[in-house]
Amino acid sequence: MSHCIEIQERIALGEPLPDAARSHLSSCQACSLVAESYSLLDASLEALAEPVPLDFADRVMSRLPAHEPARAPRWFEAGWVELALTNAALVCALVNTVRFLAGVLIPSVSLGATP
Amino acid sequence: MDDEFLIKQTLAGNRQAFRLVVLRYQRPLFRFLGLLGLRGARAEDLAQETFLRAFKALGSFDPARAAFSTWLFTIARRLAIGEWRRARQEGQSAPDASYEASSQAPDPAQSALLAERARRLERALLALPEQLRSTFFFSQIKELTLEEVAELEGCAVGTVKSRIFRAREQLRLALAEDET
Repeated sequence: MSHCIEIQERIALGEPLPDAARSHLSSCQACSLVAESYSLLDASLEALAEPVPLDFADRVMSRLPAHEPARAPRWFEAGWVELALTNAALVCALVNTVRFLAGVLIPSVSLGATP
Repeated sequence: MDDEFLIKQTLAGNRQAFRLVVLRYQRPLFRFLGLLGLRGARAEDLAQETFLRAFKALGSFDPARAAFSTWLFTIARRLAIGEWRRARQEGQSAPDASYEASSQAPDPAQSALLAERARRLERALLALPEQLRSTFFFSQIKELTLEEVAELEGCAVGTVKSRIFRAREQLRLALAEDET
């Protein structure tokens, strides 16, 4: 019974059935009736699909504006943001290195103010 | 060739790349519009407008945020909702009652049966609660994954599955009722 519920749920969701479930349909009247009514629904839905006019793509192409679509501003693009952050980090590292070296090589500068 | 490549090519000035995008998505788009009840010239106008807007806004499309299919159908949905509101304000019936014209069964009796079934299905689709209908329509587009439908609908994949289940069950029962 639980097997039937599982199979009928799959059918209801429109999911493909595994081989074992498909062979079950031939021996279970309840499941085969459910499968039949869903296949009627699927066929009817398919019939509602509007056909694509033969030259539809050509008609769309003939209506496109002459100019190409504008790109988003470059500074918005992730690559540029990453580059800017990397550059900022390098500048910070350079400034800190210079300050450190200045403190080590010229200690009198920082001690000079002490009486 | 994946969507991202075609879009990059289009942005670089290769118009044939955009033509491939149109050819790839025209069928699912018309299918979506057909389910919404839009037929003939109304469906074509809306489909053309969807691709035109997509082309103009292509530079703002960000593949890191959404799949191209999700982005394209967001445009189509917005346009379709506008079309429905406009039709309602003008007192037009939506969906179009023009199924007979597209029915191609050779036997007249069979053709009449199919047309009647399609009308019943359209009525059943219209009778679905708004949330179920919207999720169900997107689920009918084979190019969209369940995850993408969830993104379009702003809900969890589990919710999408539950809505599809309920919508299909209601539609099946509506068709089965009338068949018996």
